[in-house]
Amino acid sequence: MSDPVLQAVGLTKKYASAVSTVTALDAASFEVRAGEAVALLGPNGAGKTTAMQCCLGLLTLDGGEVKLFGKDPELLEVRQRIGFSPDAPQFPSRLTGLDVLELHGTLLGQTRAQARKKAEELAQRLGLAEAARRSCGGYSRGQGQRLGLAAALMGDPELLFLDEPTAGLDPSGVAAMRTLIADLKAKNVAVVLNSHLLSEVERVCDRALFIKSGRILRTHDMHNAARFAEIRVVNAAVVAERVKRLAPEGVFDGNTLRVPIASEDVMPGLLKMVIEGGGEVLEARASGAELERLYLEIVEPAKVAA
Amino acid sequence: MNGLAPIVSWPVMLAAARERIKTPLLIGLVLVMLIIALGAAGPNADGSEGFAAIAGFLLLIFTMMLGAGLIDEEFAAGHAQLVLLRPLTRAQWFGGRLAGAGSVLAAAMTLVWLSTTANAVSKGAHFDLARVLALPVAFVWAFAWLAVLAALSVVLKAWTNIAWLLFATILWWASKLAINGINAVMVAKDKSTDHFSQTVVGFIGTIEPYVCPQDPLQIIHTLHNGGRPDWSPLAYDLVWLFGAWTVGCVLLNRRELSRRTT
Ligand SMILES: Nc1ncnc2c1ncn2[C@@H]1O[C@H](COP(=O)(O)OP(=O)(O)O)[C@@H](O)[C@H]1O
Ligand SMILES: [Mg+2]
Repeated sequence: MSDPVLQAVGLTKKYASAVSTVTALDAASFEVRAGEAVALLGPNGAGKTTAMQCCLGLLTLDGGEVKLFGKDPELLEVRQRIGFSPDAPQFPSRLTGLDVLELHGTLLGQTRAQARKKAEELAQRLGLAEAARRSCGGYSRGQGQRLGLAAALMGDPELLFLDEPTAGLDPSGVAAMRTLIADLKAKNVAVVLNSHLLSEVERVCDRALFIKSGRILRTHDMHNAARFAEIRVVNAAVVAERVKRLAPEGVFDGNTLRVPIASEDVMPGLLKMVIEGGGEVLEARASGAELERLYLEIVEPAKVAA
Repeated sequence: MNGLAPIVSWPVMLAAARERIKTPLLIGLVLVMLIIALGAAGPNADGSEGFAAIAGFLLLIFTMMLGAGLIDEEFAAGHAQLVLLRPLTRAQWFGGRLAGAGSVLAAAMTLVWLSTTANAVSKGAHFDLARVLALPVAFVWAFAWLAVLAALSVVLKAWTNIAWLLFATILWWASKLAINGINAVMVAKDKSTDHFSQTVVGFIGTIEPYVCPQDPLQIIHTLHNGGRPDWSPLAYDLVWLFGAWTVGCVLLNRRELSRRTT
C-alpha cells in the first residue's frame, strides 16, 4: 500500500481562556492515503475544524505530530501540494472572485495569464461564472463556499481539506460536490472532509472517523460495512412467520423487514422468499453502511437509548 | 525588483493595491488633495506644496485610511489563513500587504506632485532639484507612517490601529502641554532654583524628534533656497520605515493563524 499522505499522531490542542481551558483535540491519530476520501463526523464542537487546522499547521499543537507527504506541514514545498476550503470563508470585500483566484494561482507559481485561465475554468465549473466577476463583498454564503473551494483547487492539490463544503450550498451544489470528490479520487487526490450530510458522506467517502469531544471514537470503513436489505410490505404479520424460519437474523421494524446481507446479489432471492410467503411488497432496497444509525449509536448513545 | 522577492510577495502586493484602490473614500480624498495642492501653489512653491501644511495633514489622513486594519482585516475575514497556506513566508505576506498599500500611496502622491509641477511649469518655473526630490522625500515620510500602522495592525483589531495611534498622539500632546504648564507655574513661583519639571521639559524636547517619523520637508525648503539641508529627518524616517517593517514581521510570526469559527 502507498505511504500515507497525511499522518497525524496523538494530536492534542487546548484552547485556553481566562476562565477555562477547552481540550478541542485529545490525542487524535489518523492517516489518509492517496486517492482516499475520509470524513470526520461528529457533533458541533467535536473538534473537526480544529483537527483540520492542526493538520494544516494553522494551529500550534499542544501535543502530537503531523506529517504531510512525510514532511512538516509548514514547509513551502508541502504547501504547494495541499488545498483547504474552510467553513464559511470570507474574502476581501472589494476584490472580485477572479481577483482572489488569480492571487492564489500566482502565489502557487502560475503566471497571471495561467492563473486567470484556471480561475475562469474553475468559476465556470463550480457555478460561479457570473458571480466571480463581481466583488466578493456581496456574495451569499453558498457563493463564498464555492469560491473557497475554487481557491483550494487552484493548485491542483494532491491533498484537499474540505471543512463543511456543502453548508450553504443548494441541492445542485451538493450534487456537484459529490461528482467533484469522485473525480478527485479518480485522480488519486486524497480528500479529508467535515460534513453533517451523512448520506453524501456515505456515497463518496471511503472511511469515516467518528469524533467527539476531541477524541476519535471509531473508524468506520464504508466498503466493509454491513449492508442491509430493507423490504417494506403491507402485511407484515403474514410473512413474519416464514421470515422467522428462513431468515432468522431479519427483524421487523413496523412494516419494514431489515435483513443483514453480504452483498446485493442475495436481494432477488430474498424478495422471492417474501413474495412466496404471501408478502405484498411496497418497496425494497439494499441500504448501505447505515451511517446515520452508526453515528447516533457512537456519537450520541444516550439519545438512542432514550 | 526581484531582489525584494524574499520580503515582498508580488501577488499579495497586487491584490492589496487592487483592494485599496477601490475604496471610494480614498479616491475622494485624493481629489481634495489635488484641489488643495493646486490652490496652494504660489510663485515661490518649491515642490513640497502638495505635501505640506494642510495638504500634508490630508496626506497623513490618506495614509491612515490606507493603513487602517491593513493586516488584521485579512485575519478577521479568515483570508489571511488561506493565503498563508500558500508557499510564501509570513514576512513576504506582510511585505506584500505593506507594499500594496504603499503603491497606492505612491500613485496618489505622484498624481498630486505631477499636478503641482505642471502648474508650476505653466507659471514659468525652471528646473529645481528641490522639486524633483520633494516627491521621494515626502513619500518616505508617509510610507514610514504606513509601516507603523501595518505593524500595529498585526496586534490590534480592525481599524483600531489608527484609533490607538491617534490616541497616543493626543496623549503625547496633552502630557506635553500639562508638563509645560506645570513647569511655567513652578518657574514663575521661584526662579532661583532648578526645578525637576525643567529637566522633564528638557527631556521631552530631546526625545520629541524620535518618537515618530519626522516631517522631512525642511530639506526641500532649504534646498530650494540654496542652503545645505540637514538630511537627518529623512534618515530617521528610513529607520522608522524598516524598523516598523521588521517589528511587524516579528509580531506576525508569533501570531496564531486560526480564527475562532464556532
Ligand atoms: N479559537 C478558539 N478559542 C477557544 N475555543 C475554541 C476555538 N476554536 C474552537 N474552540 C472550541 O474547541 C472545540 C472544538 O471546536 P471545533 O474544532 O471548531 O469543532 P467542530 O468543527 O467539530 O464543530 C469547541 O468546543 C470550540 O468551542
Ligand atoms: Mg467546524
